[in-house]
Amino acid sequence: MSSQLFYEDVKVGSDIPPLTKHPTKRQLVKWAVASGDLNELHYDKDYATNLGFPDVILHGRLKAAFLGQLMTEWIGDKGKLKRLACNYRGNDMPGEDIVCKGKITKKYVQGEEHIVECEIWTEDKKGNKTTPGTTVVVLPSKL
Amino acid sequence: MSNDSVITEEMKSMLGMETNKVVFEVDKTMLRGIAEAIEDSNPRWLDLAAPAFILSAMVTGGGGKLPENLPMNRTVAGGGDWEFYLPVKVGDVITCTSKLADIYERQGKAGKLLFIVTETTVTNHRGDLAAKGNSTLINY
Repeated sequence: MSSQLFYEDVKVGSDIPPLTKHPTKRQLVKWAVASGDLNELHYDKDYATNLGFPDVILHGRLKAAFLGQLMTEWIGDKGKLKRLACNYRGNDMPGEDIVCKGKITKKYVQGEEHIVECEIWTEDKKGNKTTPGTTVVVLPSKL
Repeated sequence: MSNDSVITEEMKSMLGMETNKVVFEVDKTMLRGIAEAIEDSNPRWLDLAAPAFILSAMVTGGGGKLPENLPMNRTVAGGGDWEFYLPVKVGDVITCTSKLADIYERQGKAGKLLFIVTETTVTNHRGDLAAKGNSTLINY
């Protein structure tokens, strides 16, 4: 864990340090069991190919969870995740790395809270944004 | 391509209706399972629910009753929107209540798309709203 990020440290337009994930079929099974999503599309290749997919695909929620990790690692233990939203636009397959990325779009003070808004997404190896979304966090202030 | 709505009276009548309610105690095994599954090794997630736990299917997945006889053959998860209000910790007993929040349709390239939005609220045993999640299914 790096040192705590503060509101004063962030600049609109800057990038969030990216987080690379290496999803495997094993990880999809672990997520299926832990999260309670037992849809066969995520672990049964025959089921997936019958639906027209080349292989099993990552759960949308798993990718949302990766984006959650991107944010909690960035904002640190004193930051608060307020909101996270994303669309499961593109399919990602196990065995292919995805990179979670983000960009700061807005920062403002509302009441006592120092709020930062960001655009976030997962990116596949071709550079497609497969899970585009937005997020709102609260950071501690130095002042 | 038809301009007729695929949204039936039966679907409309279900709007706002409670579709599922589950109550359970958050335990260490659940939180560890989630942290291990996403491969996030921060030890804080062994006592405190990571965002991944809140957005998991077992908490804000909705489940339960959906409109029957959806007009198209295929249904996929389209996206989610979660708000986190209060920490959820080991030992909390949470109530996850889902309702059918919205149904709307769009014209896609290959035909109609029907969007079904389920909203789930997560309340702790003190009665405080801890989180809320909207999940969208797309029938096409």
